[in-house]
Amino acid sequence: MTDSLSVDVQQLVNYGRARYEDAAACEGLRLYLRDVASVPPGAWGTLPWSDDWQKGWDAARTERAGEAKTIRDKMENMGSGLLQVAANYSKTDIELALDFSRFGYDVQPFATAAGGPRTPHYRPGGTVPSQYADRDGGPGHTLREYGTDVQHPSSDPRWERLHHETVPMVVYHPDGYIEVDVGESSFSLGKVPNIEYLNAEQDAQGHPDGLSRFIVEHLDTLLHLESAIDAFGSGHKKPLSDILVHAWRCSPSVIDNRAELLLSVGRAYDKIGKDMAGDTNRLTLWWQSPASDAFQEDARLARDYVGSLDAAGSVAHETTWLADEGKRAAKFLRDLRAAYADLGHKHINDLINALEKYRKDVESVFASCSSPEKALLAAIDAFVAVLVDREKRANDDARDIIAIDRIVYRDQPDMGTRKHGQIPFPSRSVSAGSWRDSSGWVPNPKHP
Amino acid sequence: MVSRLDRYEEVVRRLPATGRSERGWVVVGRDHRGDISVRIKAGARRSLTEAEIAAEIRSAMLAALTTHRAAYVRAREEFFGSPLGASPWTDWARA
Repeated sequence: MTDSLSVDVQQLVNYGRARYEDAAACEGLRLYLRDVASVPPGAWGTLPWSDDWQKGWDAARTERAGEAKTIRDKMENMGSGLLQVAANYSKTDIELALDFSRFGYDVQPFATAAGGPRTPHYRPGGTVPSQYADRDGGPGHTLREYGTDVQHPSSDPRWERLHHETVPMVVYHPDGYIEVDVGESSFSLGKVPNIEYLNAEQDAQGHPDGLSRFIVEHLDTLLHLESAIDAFGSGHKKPLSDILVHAWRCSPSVIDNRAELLLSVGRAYDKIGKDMAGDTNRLTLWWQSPASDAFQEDARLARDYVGSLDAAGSVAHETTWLADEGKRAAKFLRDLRAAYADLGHKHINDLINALEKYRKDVESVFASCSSPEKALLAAIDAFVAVLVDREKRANDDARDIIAIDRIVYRDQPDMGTRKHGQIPFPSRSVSAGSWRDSSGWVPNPKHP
Repeated sequence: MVSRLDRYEEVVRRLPATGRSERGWVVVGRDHRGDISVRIKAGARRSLTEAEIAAEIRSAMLAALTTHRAAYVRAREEFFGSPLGASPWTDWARA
């Protein structure tokens, strides 16, 4: 019931509704950060730095979710407060229909889930309790608790991939060992572990990527070499079980897809900030008084906090930073997998030849005089050295990716100076909420 | 530190083996130091032709090699859990 309002009050209502929608959108973004941006732990692989990346990513998500909460509450506070001012000022009931379409195709369903069921109703002299603030103490509602399904059309490859994503894994069968022959000869180095490599990482065309193909193609050879290492004694790294398998388990495509979807959160913030800036300017045209000035101060702080994609130190920028880090991590892993596949293909013949030479040496009359076992180990060691060298270089470079300060020391307050920690909301110079008194609002005599 | 592989090689180096010829005139042996001995029973030159003596020596050597090979494979089984590619009776022995 807002059609009977004067034009200036209508401006208040429009502004209040937009911020109220922003609040729901930010609750949606919090859910989005929680669910969509959550990379399955397995997708990071079991590389030396995987654990750091996973912890960094999840810690940064928590920081970003904290910011979403902060903006949500600021927006609700401003939106709800201004709507109440409008009801009081006009002595009219105000009931709103909310619209979340402006937040973008990816985010809209989450905003709708968080804010859609409610149609806030403001009465002159009444109060509307906060929808979200009471949950601040806890972890916040889950999407399921909102009771709404979030659905995107299956024609969108990103969401389709998300709903059907798989993470590569290695299954060790409990029944132990199987006999496998090496290559075309019937030569066997005995039993090898019964291992299955499942859910191979796929390239952009949906085929197993280079590393997946290399491992599957040479699995028997590699497993034989490893059972030889087991038999001959410890102290030698295994090319498959100690190095390649850790990269096999990671899924750059899963990380990349979730990071790509996370970019939509930064864009939603950017939109929220820009809409708010325009709305705030417009409001100045219609209202001019100490109350509206105080409100402008609040609005300016909130708008700067939300920021934009290119405003460093703003929430929009930090969220986009995280998504970009995810994309960087995915590319890094893709490059590593490709490098391993290249090195593997380049050197696998040395191993096959070494295995063939071993086979001949062991069958020779003078096997007991030569050292075919040591020669084979030397060939495996040489192959491993090449892989280890690449892994070491990657390990050095990996430290710069998803690097955030995660630790808050108990005896030191968090001043918001941690690298990529949650951005604190700035303190304000005017008395909090002084604009809430509707008697302080005076229309701008020079309004359009 | 002596590795398991070093210990294995030491054992294999010291594997003794003995082979007796088909008709029993010749015995070929290898002791734990790797020294080879060939013993021919007295009277062989009187009882056998030259070709028969050669065949006796040949079969004794093959028997020694086969015994040594079997011990070699056994040692591998003990150390490695399986012969890991070494077969007990090979083409060279059959030839």
